[in-house]
Amino acid sequence: MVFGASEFADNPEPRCPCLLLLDTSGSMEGPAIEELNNGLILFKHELCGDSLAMKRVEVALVTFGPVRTLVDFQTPDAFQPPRLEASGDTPMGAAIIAGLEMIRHRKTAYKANGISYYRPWVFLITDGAPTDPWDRAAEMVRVGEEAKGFSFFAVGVDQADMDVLSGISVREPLKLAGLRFSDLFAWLSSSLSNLSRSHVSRPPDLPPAWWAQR
Amino acid sequence: MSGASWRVAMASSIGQSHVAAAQPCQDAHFHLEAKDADGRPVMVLTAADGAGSAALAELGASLACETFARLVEAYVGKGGRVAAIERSLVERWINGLVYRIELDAKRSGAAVQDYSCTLLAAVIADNSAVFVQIGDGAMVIPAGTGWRHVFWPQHGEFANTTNFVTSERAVPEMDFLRLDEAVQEIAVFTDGIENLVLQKASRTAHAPFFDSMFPPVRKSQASGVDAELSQALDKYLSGPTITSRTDDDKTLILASRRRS
Repeated sequence: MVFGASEFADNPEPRCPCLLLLDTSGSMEGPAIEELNNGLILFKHELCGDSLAMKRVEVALVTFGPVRTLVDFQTPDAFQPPRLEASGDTPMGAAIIAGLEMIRHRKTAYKANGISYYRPWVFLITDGAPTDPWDRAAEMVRVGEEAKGFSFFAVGVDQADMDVLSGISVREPLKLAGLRFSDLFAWLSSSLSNLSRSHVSRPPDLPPAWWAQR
Repeated sequence: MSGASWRVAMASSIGQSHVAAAQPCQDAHFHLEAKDADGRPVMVLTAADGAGSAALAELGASLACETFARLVEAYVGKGGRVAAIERSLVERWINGLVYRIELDAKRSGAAVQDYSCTLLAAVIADNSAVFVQIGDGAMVIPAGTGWRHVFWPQHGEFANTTNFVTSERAVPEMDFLRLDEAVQEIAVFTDGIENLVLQKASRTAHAPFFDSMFPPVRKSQASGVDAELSQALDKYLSGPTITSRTDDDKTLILASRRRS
């Protein structure tokens, strides 16, 4: 994009990137995909209610089954929650690799434009198990977490294979209680708000994950 | 050249995020004026930003500010010249300051990391000046008709990471500069107002800010710290112009030996 940098000239605030990796495979059909869609609308709404988060948080969205980049990094005011439909299999490995590549690109753009940024968050939500090889993705997550290049969170829904998620995510994956996507996205929005206003002398407080199954 | 005496306005103001979290202001600052062997003034300014994740950050910040200034005072008092200060000497001062923190930590059963803070220091004599920085924040001095930062703030990859005097990388990554020229004015500030007064994209000081902040200091009739002006500065730092842009603690020291 030739004129792509104007977003940084208009808004020089430090950025807090958040990448959503969402499972839209066939098994999500029905109430799950409905609740996920509602959650995304709420997510935008909540972020837009915080004037600082609105300038600092950037959302990107990749769905899998098949892998599609539906939204590249943009601030909440520009983010239009897409209407997701369930279909296909679960190429989770490829989705993670594509997503981490987007993060790398975004950091390069921040640096080139003198924009400071917070440690990116990657949020993976799935109700199944990968139908493609995922060892390379897991390795990239491990290396990235170790280098503190990003924070990777995995959330399992319903019949999700929590063992595979544990193999991918360095942090312990959490299981969504029922279909509480709205609670999950309210939590995510409030965590990102806190992260986007954290500074050296005030690290972020992350609220407890009240949406997770205990 | 001798010129006018230094006049100083300085304040640290608590950030809204600290008020909300019932945390104290974890910024500190310190000023002293010593006399060199020729009886000429040597001004020492220090500012520090305590790490919010550290339990005794506000104590660390004030210890760092005062201890560093006292070490410089002792050096100058024994006939040491600012023009002769080398990096290795400042490294010993930093080690001394960390030792001072270790003593305090031992006494109170705390860890040295509980005192984590940044440090900004300026030591200014008639025709030479030394600048030292560990961590973020910055110092800005005149350059021609404009302004320039002495060092760029030390941030890690992310906006909320930096270097501390208590960290292992403190001394190797310490910024040190001696200028053998007459520095007439200086602003020292912690990272709380960084985004407001530095232009990150162009890596420059935001001239209109400094142009507007210095005239009252130049006009001051005080000798040394102007209490009234410092109070006004505190009010400004706590006011809506600043707090709408940052909820962090912020410290600003303005010193001038120019006459209007």
